[in-house]
Amino acid sequence: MSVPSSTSSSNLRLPKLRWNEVLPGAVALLLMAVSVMEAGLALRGIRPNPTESVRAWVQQRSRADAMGNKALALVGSSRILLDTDLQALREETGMQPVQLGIEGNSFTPVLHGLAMDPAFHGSVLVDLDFPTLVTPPRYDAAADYERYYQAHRDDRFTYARIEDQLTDLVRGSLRSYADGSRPSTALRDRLLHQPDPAQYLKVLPDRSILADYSKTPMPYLYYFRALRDLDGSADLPPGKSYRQIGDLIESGIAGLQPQDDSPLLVQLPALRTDVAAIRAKGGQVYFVVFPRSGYVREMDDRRFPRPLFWDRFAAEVPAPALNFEDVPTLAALYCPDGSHLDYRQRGVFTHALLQAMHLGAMR
Amino acid sequence: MLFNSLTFLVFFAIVFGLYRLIPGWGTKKLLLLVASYVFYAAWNPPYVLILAFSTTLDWWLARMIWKSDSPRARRVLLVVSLVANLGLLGFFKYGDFLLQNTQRLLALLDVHYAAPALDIVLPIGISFYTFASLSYTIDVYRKEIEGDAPFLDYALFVSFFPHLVAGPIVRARQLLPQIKTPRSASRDQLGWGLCLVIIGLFTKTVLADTLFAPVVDAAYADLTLGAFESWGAVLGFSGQIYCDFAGYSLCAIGLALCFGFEFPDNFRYPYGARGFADFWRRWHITLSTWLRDYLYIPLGGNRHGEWRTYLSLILTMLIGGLWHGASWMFVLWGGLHGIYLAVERRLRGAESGVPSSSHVQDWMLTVFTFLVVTLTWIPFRAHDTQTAGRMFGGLFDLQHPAAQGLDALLICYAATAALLVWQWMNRDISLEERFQRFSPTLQAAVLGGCLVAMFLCSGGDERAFIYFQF
Repeated sequence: MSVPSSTSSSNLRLPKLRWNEVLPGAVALLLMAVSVMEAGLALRGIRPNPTESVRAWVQQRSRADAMGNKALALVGSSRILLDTDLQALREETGMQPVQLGIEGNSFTPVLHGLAMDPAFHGSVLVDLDFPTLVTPPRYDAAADYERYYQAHRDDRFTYARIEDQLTDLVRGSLRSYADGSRPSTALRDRLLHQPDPAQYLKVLPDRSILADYSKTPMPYLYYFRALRDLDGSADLPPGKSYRQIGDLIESGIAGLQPQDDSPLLVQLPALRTDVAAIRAKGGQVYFVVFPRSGYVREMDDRRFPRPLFWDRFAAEVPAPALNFEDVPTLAALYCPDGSHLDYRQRGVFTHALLQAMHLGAMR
Repeated sequence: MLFNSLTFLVFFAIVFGLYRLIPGWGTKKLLLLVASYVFYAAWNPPYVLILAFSTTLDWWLARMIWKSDSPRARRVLLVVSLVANLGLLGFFKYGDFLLQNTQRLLALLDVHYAAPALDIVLPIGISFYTFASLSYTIDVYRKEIEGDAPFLDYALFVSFFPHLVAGPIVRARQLLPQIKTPRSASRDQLGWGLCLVIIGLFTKTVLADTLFAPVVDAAYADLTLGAFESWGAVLGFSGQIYCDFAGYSLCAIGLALCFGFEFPDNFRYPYGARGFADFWRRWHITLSTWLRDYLYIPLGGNRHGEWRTYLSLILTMLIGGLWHGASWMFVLWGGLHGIYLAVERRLRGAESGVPSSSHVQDWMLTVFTFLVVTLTWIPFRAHDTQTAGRMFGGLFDLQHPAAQGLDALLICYAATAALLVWQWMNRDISLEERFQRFSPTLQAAVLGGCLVAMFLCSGGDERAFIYFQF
């Protein structure tokens, strides 16, 4: 049998190299790079922790179905991840809170997935964020997460589980993956970046995140977040004082115009349908505008004026809804970076929220 | 099981260790067969039955064809093999597609037919192992190879895990002789095999998934884009699909080498091609040669005059397009390539692919080929004509400035340019030759750099290889 030359591979083309030097050399380079990174991160006080991933989310999503009418699904983006205290929720409501927040993503795909899922019979607490509702991120991971769950919910084979466990083992052991970061991000933001942002976030096994703002470089982080929200800047402008940057932000805020409300109006019917579907299964949906402070609050007030957005939403979506501005205890809470609460405030916030919504002993 | 998963790393370490330790060629083959079925079952265990059925049937039919002296009986047996294999492929891959199109066609005739939703899960790799398996029965029918392969050898040929789910499409005549004789990887095979796996994984995880995919995904999710972003996405997809599939092929070839088996090349710097015929001699080579030998030539090839040749080319490419998936968009993509090949043949005669006379002409032809191939990926990537149309329209929209992700876009442009230059520089030499020219220190640095880059880019959610869906 002959092999046509056009498709053959032959031994003649195999490189004859000093393999005992080349391959160990390559592996040594990798080990050296990983060791240097890990040592650098250790020196900066970074600790390995559980990883944030679609796998961790799917595990919680599965819990939401398994808990029946005891489930209280927390849906939204970073605020619900950082601001809510699951232990307090559990104790004060008698429900089983399940953390389904996804950083930087809109709540609608997950809410819709829960509404359409015949296995979900619980209630939902939504972090109502108009910026992501009106202008969803270009790539909405939440939709992918929900699709992944729907596609793999009945998988019983162990391949995915083995992969999950191996991944968690590796990523949970290395500082380069701490806080769900990629090693490239850890290199850029933790080893090469100035000022050196310490590890102020701690991811808990239930996916909640604790933010300790006493470890952050302030006011750098506050101005950085504000400027990023204002114009998408990747960093503070070099050579300017914080006062000058503050002036820059304030003049930017003064020029902000209200956003077009038509995307909200388009979404309202679907939201009403989702709320009705969850209520029909015995659950309830609670919408909450989470606390903001300083420049971030001012920007949101300008872009999403209350009469156009909040008032209309509260009037047209038949579900309990609460704006932090309407509850003095919540309005008084201070977000160090403008958007999120320090972990020491989570309990206070959660307790005040439940009281304001009359959610004690729900079941 | 994905090559770029930790589970596969453990799986490979166990299988490779046992392969080196256990004595006896028969036992080693059995180990590889069991490992290959475990590899396949990791995705969807019940579907190994389809693989086993297809394998058993083709092995038995080929044996009957080989034993039979009656041309009629041989032909009937071949037809049974074709019907069974293409029937399985048709049912699983094209069942829903056929029903939906029947419904549309009947609606045009004012007949209201509600197609049932079959909700069929496509067995992964079925297009690849069906073509590999068919090459055996057809070659035995043509008396080009013997049909006496032992069942164990044949089953291992079909299911050998490096090529099972996404190729290269290895033919029986290439792999069966290797399976017949005891093999153990030589030092050079093992060394180069591991190099290929490292380079392949780097190409997939760093270039395809990290540099190109985010730009492409974001652009196709939001089609209100200007020219800068649209071109970034279109060029990016060219880079993504090449790096994804060529990366997978390198891994497959490298893994097979680690066990002492040699697979054919699947890519030879296709974006350095001088014309479309040259492109198809460099892109997914095992598919294009399969289509050439088992479709284009039986359709008449170039033996029945000029116009029949064009027809054969276009028909072959239409079917080649459909092979990629049950969608008219793939058919459109294949049809366009068929037209390019026919037009090129018309303009240049049968000797297409001959280098142009000057460097400038050669360079212009290469860039032209790349741009046309790149634009033709639009219907391949888009799910419908509307999306394809909007993406195509975006290429000429100079009103919208780039909205977001400027850094990622610029990196995508730079990576595409670098890829093109790399392919142009290397198109007439092999990767092996290029690598061998480096000093040992540089070789270690290149491979180490690939490993470090893979580490740095790890941590996101893993993406499946694009060609798994085909």
